[in-house]
Amino acid sequence: MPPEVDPATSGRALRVGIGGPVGSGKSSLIAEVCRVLADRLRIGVVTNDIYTTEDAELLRSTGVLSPERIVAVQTGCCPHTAIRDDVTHNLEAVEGLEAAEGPLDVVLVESGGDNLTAVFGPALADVQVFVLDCAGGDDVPRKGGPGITRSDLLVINKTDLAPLVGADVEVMLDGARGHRGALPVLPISLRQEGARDVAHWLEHRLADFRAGRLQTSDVGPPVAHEHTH
Amino acid sequence: MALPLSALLLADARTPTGGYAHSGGLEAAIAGGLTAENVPALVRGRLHTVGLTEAALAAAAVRAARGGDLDALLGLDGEAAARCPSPALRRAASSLGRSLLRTAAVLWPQDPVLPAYRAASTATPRPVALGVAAGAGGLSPVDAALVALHEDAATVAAAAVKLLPVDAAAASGWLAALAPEVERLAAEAAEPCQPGELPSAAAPLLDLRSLDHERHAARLFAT
Repeated sequence: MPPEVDPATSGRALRVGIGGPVGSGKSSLIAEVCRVLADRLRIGVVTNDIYTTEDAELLRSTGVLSPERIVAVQTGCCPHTAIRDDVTHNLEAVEGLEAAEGPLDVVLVESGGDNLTAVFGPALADVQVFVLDCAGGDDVPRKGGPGITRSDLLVINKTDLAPLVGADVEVMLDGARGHRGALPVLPISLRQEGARDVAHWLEHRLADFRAGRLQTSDVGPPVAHEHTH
Repeated sequence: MALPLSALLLADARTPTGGYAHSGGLEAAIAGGLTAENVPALVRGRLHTVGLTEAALAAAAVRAARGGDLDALLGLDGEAAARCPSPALRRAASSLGRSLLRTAAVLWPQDPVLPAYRAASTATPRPVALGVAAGAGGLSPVDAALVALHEDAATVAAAAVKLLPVDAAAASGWLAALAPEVERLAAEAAEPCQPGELPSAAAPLLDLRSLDHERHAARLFAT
């Protein structure tokens, strides 16, 4: 039996949320992913800058995408609200981008840098990537939180900096796996290796999406178990 | 009669309608020198000008929506545009209107007017969209006007907490103190009249500052 295709998603781009704390490398990851994939995929980007349009400008300056493919959304001090509690502005931006520049294959939505609980709502992102970095401390993955436990892909960036900041990449991977079970974790150094592995993962999710068999790991918070005693 | 639950839903900032990204001109006013103690005056100034105008548009839109009069609703789109000289604020009103209609369509899926207006209107200015949503939720014109005015004041108050050294309880206190005035303005806004005779009180400084604000590189709020 062929997989059932959701009429709400057919014909539009795969929407990918990119979240994570300030400075972990979300913008750089997007720039590098675009560098790898821009030749074969039509990509759009929506940035959620906290205070400026700096992220959008930075991405435009790399020249990996035409400037019209990159739009910025203001989030009124509430980056987490804009990606989960009230995604209306981002949805408008994504749909506007697809209407103006489409058809597109992938729209990447970059969250404003936020805390470990900031994850994308299902109405905005089909699939989401959470970005941490070694310089933020190797105890961060162990702390958990929805971004670490539920993102479809956890990226641990700046592995090249680990020895310089006293961080142990293995400790970070163990901490993450403790929360994530079989969900993937990718340690990378964007500066040294670029984003080939992340781009590869993304292409597979796009193939799943088009075939109507994309599964996301965000199943909501764990349901409290009932005590009979 | 008690306020219907749909009025509370529309006024609740947790209902996702995009309001959190706007400051009602407060951020631009602060850039122009406004300090914390003058925020209540800004809130009040808005209520008596653009607040009244938009509340009257919302109330008129409820009447048109209740009568299933799509042409009248689209006529109100024009009345709203004529009362909003700033292109930046017209764009913001459109965006907020679309956001509101998107969510209202989920809240009241059985309403026939809302999807028809959503499909036919190119501008979807927020006050008209609010009237359409309020109509779908079964609100009266005066309830819709009350929601519009409260939302206007609450947007500035909430942004003040983020932009200035203001205690959130004090900001809510401003809104409580303004309650009698808001209720009186809502009644005034809901007076039936011809579309061309709807209130058109304006606040030119808000319009002018919105133009600068839109071009400002470092801003937290869209307006």
